[in-house]
Amino acid sequence: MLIEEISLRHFKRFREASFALREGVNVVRGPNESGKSTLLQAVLAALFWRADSTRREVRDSVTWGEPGGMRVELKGRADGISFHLVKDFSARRAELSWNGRKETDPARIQDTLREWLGVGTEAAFRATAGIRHDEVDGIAEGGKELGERLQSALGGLEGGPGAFRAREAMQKELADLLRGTRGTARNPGHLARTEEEMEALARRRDELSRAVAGREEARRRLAEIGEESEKAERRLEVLEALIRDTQERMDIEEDVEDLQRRYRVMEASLELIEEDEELAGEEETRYAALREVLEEEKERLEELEKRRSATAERAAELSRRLEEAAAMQPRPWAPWVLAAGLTLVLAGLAGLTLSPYMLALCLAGCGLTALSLFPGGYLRFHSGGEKLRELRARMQELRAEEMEVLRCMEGVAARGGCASLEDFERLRRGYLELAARRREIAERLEMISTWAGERGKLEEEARKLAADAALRSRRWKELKGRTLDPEGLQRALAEREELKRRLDHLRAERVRCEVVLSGEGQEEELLEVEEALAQLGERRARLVRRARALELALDWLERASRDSLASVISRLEEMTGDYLGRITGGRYRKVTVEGEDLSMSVWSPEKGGEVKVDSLSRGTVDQLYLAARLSLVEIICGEKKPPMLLDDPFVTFDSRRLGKAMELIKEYARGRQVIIFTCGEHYDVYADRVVSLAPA
Amino acid sequence: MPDLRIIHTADVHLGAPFLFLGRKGKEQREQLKATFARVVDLALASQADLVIIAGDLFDRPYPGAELVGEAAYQIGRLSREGIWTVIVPGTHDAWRQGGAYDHPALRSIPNLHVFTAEEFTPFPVPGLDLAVYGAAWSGRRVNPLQGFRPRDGFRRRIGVLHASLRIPGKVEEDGVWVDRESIAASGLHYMALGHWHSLSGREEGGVPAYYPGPPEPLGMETEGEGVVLSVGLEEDGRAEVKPLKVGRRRFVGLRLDGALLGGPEGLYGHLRGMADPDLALRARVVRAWGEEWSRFDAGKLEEELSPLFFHLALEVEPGFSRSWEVEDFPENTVAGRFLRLARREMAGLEGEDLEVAEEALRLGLFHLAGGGQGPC
Repeated sequence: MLIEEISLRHFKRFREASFALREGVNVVRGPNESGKSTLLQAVLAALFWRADSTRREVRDSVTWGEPGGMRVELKGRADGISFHLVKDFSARRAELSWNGRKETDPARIQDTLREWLGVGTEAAFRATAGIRHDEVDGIAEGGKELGERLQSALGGLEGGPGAFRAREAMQKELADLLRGTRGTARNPGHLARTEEEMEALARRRDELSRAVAGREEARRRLAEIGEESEKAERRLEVLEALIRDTQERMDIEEDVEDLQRRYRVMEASLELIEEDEELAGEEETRYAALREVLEEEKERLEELEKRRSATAERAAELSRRLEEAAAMQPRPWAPWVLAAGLTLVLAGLAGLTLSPYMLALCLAGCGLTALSLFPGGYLRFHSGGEKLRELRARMQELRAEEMEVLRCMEGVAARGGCASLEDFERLRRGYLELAARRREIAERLEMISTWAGERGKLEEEARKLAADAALRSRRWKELKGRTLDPEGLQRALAEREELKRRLDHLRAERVRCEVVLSGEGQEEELLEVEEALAQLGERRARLVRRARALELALDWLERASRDSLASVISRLEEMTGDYLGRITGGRYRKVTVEGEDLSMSVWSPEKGGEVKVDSLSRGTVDQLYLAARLSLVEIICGEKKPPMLLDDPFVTFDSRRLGKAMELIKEYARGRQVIIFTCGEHYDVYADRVVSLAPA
Repeated sequence: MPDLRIIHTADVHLGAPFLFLGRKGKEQREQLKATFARVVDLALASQADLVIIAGDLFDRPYPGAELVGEAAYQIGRLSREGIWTVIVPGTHDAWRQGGAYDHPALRSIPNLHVFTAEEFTPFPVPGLDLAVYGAAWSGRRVNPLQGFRPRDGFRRRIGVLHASLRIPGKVEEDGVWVDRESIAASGLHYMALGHWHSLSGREEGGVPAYYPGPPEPLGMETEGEGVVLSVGLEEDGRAEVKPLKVGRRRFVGLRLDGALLGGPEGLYGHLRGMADPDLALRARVVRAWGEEWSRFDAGKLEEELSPLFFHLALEVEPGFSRSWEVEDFPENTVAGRFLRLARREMAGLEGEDLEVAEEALRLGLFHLAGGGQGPC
């Protein structure tokens, strides 16, 4: 492509300007701030900015103070055909006319321009067909810089470091990103740190989730416990009442029995007291004199009694002996039988005279006589009679003594108001019986009652007992309908125990639940942790995606770089050698490019071998670089021949180096267009056209 | 002046997580509480007769005790002023033993009625000649209004449900549901709904039925949130429904056209102009194509502008690869070959793989261009 004229309107400092250019070397010269860079940018804008673009660069390019109207117009030739391009950025319109055709669609215009230039973007154009003022600086220092610059140009993006450096940068970024993810690292990368942080948070989240779930369970359980406890307590209350009533009923039953027993005792006591009182009255009325006599004549009576009993004993003894004696005496009928026997004998004998048969009578008399004499017959009867008489005499004495005693006693009895001793005895017996009865009563009262002698208290106590018993009875009747039988009571007691155990258990569980619920804020912390985790998760996903993207980009870049080099290197060697040979008069015609770093060497016929760039003179190195650089433009852009834009690249060169460099540029510019933007006049001698810009 | 003034809210979701807000989630949870307090303030200031909470007051059946305490405190303020509050438990805070509505702090509030039965039962509000019918949310698919005909002697009747509104072909039955026909035939004077997170509703056969949406925004996907409904019931039973703004924050999801913005600078200016400390903005940039976007770092811009917003999330829709015509870069350059290779390999990709490939392309071009502080 060849630009023949560029016209600007309201483009930065140019309100209206037009510049004519031609094939070959064009030098745009002017001092600082004269608009060189603006013109360079205008060329790029004409070629690459879309007229409908809203990018800031477009907005910022409008001349200051002008509301719009920014326009760039280009006239020239492409593929031998004239074209006319107008881009009105303010109106966002464009028009490209060529070969009788007209295109107004900004996108299609760009497609056409790309077709003519071989490059579609400003960055790619600058990287290939643009040489910045700093690009050749330091080239002469050595081969490394030269290789790097070429890599950058081959990279295809302006200012880029080339594929090799780009890959290094990406590898470093990837390594930084992944450091510590496949093993331990002292300084882990973003991803490892994020994962560590996530792991820690996930652990915390799990802890909190368990705690929160536990709290929810505790809350639910607490409610259940409350309900169950309430039910159990209600049931327990019912049971307690039932048991209490049953036990009360049983107690009442026992108490009532006791009360009745005690009441009976009281009644008995009262009866006894009454009896005693009666007896006391009787004692006073009937036995007062006797009691006095008995008290006064106690000793005498005792003596008399002793004498009487002794007399009685002796009398008894004598009676016994009398009985014995009487028993010892022959039968009383013996004398009578003897007399009868003897009578019969005599009568018989007498009768014998009368009749022999009277002998029988005589014999019968003999028999009776014998019977009276045998055994204990009449003889013993006779001796016994003596003893009996003695005993009877002694008995009579005793009777007399007894009579004496009796008389004495009768005297006492008479004092006691008794007509006879029998009366006295009867009276005394009665008195003694009464006294014995009263003692018995006293003893019994003492045994059965506290208030043995206090009738009033006893009566009051009895009343109380009666009242108590009545009360209890009423209560018993009340309870009777709502109490349990013993078996039921046992069951109720067992149930009560079970309920108490259950309530104890529930109480303990309630405490456990309350302890679980005591830690506040766990729900909120869980949410915060989950939110932080979500955020970290997003970050991790971004980092992982970035790592994957870097790996993929590295792979693509390596393959792209390899393919690119494979297609470029042989042509680069050939074309660079050709250029170099032409400008060095054939001194250096063979160039070798090595490896990915594009390091170069040249064949030196003088030395008969490869010469590294470091061994060449500065001028030759400049020429070698420019030859390679321009070759790259040709290789990259093919037959398209875009205008070459040089932004004062040789400003630091001395005249000798400049001369050598410009020789090459002149050679390159044959059939092409090179536009050099510069401040000085040192390119003028090489220029086919000089555009002079006035100072601002 | 209406005869009866009702404040209708729902879906407060106290204690809700905000995963997309990250560490700002806590702040928004606090705001939910503050907004609920504003709802109560509004009810007090407007001398409302009744406050209806149509489900999901809490975000979970067993919220923390402090959250229940806060809700109880606010409802207690209404109660002390003699204002009745009726609540139906919702999907998130369904009635559970020991749960939020079983908590002594809420149970002990005098002028509060919580519908715990799944059946549509009436609650006669003392002193208002009003019966509020409600049912607790259940997992069963049921329309509580099916066959419902009120038989009570009250002058006014209101229904409260946490339910979906079935719209044939669009929204089908989802747990508890109602439909327009059953609302229209219900004989109610107002149907207070909850469950949908956006302000919506209309009269169905003369029965106004409304969702107020959450009083404070809960997510980007909702619209019209941040209001409660003020319902005025006239003596003749007519209801006037007015939304009242109570929410503080705005959650906005935006799609921005990169081609119209004119590059990252344009995007910056646009977002800068929207800066608001109460705005949670999720901006998705589409058609961020072209050279001007090649060095755009969404993460960096998001980081830079985030302090000006409550929350800012910036995404760039995939499509960067379409920014470039392969012919833009000569084939013999590394960039040209890289681009061609990338385009070839991306041809069959989709989803996350495509996004990764897009980023790989962006990264490759970024590093070939000399890199810098961040990715393209």
